[in-house]
Amino acid sequence: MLNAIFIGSIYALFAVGYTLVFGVLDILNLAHSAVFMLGAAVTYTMVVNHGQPFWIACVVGIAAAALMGLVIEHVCLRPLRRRGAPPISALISTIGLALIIVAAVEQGRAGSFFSWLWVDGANSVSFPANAVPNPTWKVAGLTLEASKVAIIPVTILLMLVLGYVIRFTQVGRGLRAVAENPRAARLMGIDVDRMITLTLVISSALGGLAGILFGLAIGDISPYIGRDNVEVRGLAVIVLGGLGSIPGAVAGGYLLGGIEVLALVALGSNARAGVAFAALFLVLVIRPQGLFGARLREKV
Amino acid sequence: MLLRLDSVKRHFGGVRAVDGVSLEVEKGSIQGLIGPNGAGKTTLVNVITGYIPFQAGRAFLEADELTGLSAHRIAAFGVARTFQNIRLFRDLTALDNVMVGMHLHRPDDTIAQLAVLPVFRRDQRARVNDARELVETCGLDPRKIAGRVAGTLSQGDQRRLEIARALALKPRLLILDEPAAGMNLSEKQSMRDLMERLNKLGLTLLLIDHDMRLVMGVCNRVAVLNFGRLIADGTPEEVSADAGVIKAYLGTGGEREVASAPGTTGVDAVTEVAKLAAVTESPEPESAILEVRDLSVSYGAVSAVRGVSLRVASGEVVALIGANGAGKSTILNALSGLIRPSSGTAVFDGIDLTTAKPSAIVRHGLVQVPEGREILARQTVLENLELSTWARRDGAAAGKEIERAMERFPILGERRTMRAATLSGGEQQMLAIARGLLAKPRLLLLDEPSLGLAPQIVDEVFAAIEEIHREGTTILLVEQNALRALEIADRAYVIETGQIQLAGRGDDLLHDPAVRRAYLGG
Repeated sequence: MLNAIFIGSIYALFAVGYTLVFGVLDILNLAHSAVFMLGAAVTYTMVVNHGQPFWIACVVGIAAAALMGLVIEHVCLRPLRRRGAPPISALISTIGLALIIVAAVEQGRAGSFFSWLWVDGANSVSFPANAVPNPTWKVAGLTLEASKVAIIPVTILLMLVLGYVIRFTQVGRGLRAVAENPRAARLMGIDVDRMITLTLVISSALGGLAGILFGLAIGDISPYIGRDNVEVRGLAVIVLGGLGSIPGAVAGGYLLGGIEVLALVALGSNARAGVAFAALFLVLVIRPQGLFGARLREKV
Repeated sequence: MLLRLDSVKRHFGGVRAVDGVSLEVEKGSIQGLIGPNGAGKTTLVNVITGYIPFQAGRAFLEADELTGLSAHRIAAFGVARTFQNIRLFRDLTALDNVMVGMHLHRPDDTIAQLAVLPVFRRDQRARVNDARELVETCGLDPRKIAGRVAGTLSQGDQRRLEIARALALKPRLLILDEPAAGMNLSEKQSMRDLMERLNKLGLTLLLIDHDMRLVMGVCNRVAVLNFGRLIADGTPEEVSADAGVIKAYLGTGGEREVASAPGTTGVDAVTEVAKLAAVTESPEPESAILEVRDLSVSYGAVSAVRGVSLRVASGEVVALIGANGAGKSTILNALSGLIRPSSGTAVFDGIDLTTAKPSAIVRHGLVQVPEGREILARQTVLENLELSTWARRDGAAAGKEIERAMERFPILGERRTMRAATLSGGEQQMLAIARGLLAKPRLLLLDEPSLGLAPQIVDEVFAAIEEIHREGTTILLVEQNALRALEIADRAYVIETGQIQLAGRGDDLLHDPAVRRAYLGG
């Protein structure tokens, strides 16, 4: 049960970043899973190889992810947008960047060019127990680790803040204006390119944070965690919740987490992914517009 | 009688796009179908050709009833069409495009074509020959273009090829939806020759176009639609003298009476207009807040604006009038930085509009209220207004101004928490204008503020515009409702096919028959 909430929180955080970019740009940013991995990898390296305290490492990890958001916008998206390229081009350019990021981390070994970034090559590692402050409590026979429990308030708080920003602040109004009608937004003096950059930075920071939480909760960090764990699931979550809908992405994340844990308990680990996608298929047959389909036209 | 429409109706939600149209098209004639923007012309064609289902009414092609048939069956009955925006198979060669349409009249012989024996390929050869003939009929050289991919042909050649493809269906009726859009005068002339040639071969044509000179020149009869209803049907002479038609095109000049009918003689109107322009030349202002010189804009191969020069002085209301497709909105969009001109200069109060970012242009005080209003339909009225202060730094003052805007347009205050999508057209226009004003413009560009509005709402919108002007805002107004625009304008420019044909004081132009001719041809 608790596991469902932990994993669901991570899916939700990850998917919110996905859906935010989709809502504003109508483009799937497939480099998002690489950003997720990068957040975890940078944080791990800061702690283990650069001897930084955990909190500093987290900040650096999230900053690295946010920076990657800038790179995605300036390298993968803006040049294509300028040329009026179709959305499929952006899809491919973000896949390309994802491959490059994963390959760069993969090359990171002691003594190699990328050793500052990562030294464990293709291996899977986890945070050393003493490096992360992780008090545990025993409540009603359950062992609660702070690193896992903290995920829940962090996710909820972030979603509330994000929801508030988008609904009630001037920047949020600008974002929604760009999402709905970029032309009208331009005529009202909104710098559309800057709003898009902001979207990617926020989205990527959330993705990086999701990666760090994943590393903490699951104890598995490698160049492939993004690709193997959240890339396709993240897509499933935003389709489940309704494309471009933030509440939908949150609900979809928790729902997928719940379904997977149920499947794990009932049918064993091999059934996990299969059952999840069967559920997704069902939802799409019954409600093609996703769970929050009423908000289908309400992007962001 | 070739085509007979009986009370054809098609509504989209509350919009009565086609509202009970009855029309008869004589066999062997060229029938024109005209009407202002949004009159329902293309919808009517889409209903006749089965692209949109009938809601009510019936249609017959000679003895065959078309009502309720699917598009491909109607095509088989002999109704072919071209499209407003060219829809060729862009990746097929020109000849293949034409041959695609031939399956109706030749048995499918794909199997036979797989055999190598020449005797089985006879049909294929005949097909190729037919296609080449059709291409030639449409004024294209088959040797030059047959093997080229359709997407690489020039705009004009693509239009011709689309007609050739339609002819491959061996139609009884050919519907041409704006075949001359974006063409220059000589291209239009040869399109006209083509239509006359096809008509002599016995083909009945239904022509939709905004170029009145073309329509009035080539058609035997012209039907006029407005707000989904047929308001006139007759010879070109009758129609262009019809008071209702003139009103639909030029708008109502308030209490003013529509004076004389436009001339429909064969005089070349361009030289006529040029002569008049020389007479009504007005003093342009010495110092201008907006200065545009030799501005040209093109969309790919189509040039929309050619060498336009105009000036607006501080405190003026300047109108830019002209028929649909003349290039008016393109000029405004170039000024707002949404599209970049191919040549020429545009300077607003010291900044170069051809290179500045759209957001910087707004901050500098040049604000556009776009055609079709483009309000943010999913956001509330209040949110739309709040967003408009984006370009400003003075948050507190802006809040007060939003309150004041809602006092000026009380309906916006009443509906502040409702989604903008629920407003009526006139209310949306008020919202768009209020939103434009909140960006603190020194020059306000208004693009078709009266488009699609009922007459008394148009009065309200124009009253609001005059009030804004009295308060000191300079206005550049683009309008199809020419008489109305000329009434409030200090000066006006008349645009035709991307060029300024006439300029002068609003009052003078109001009585100038050349204005009417620019709209209705003649």
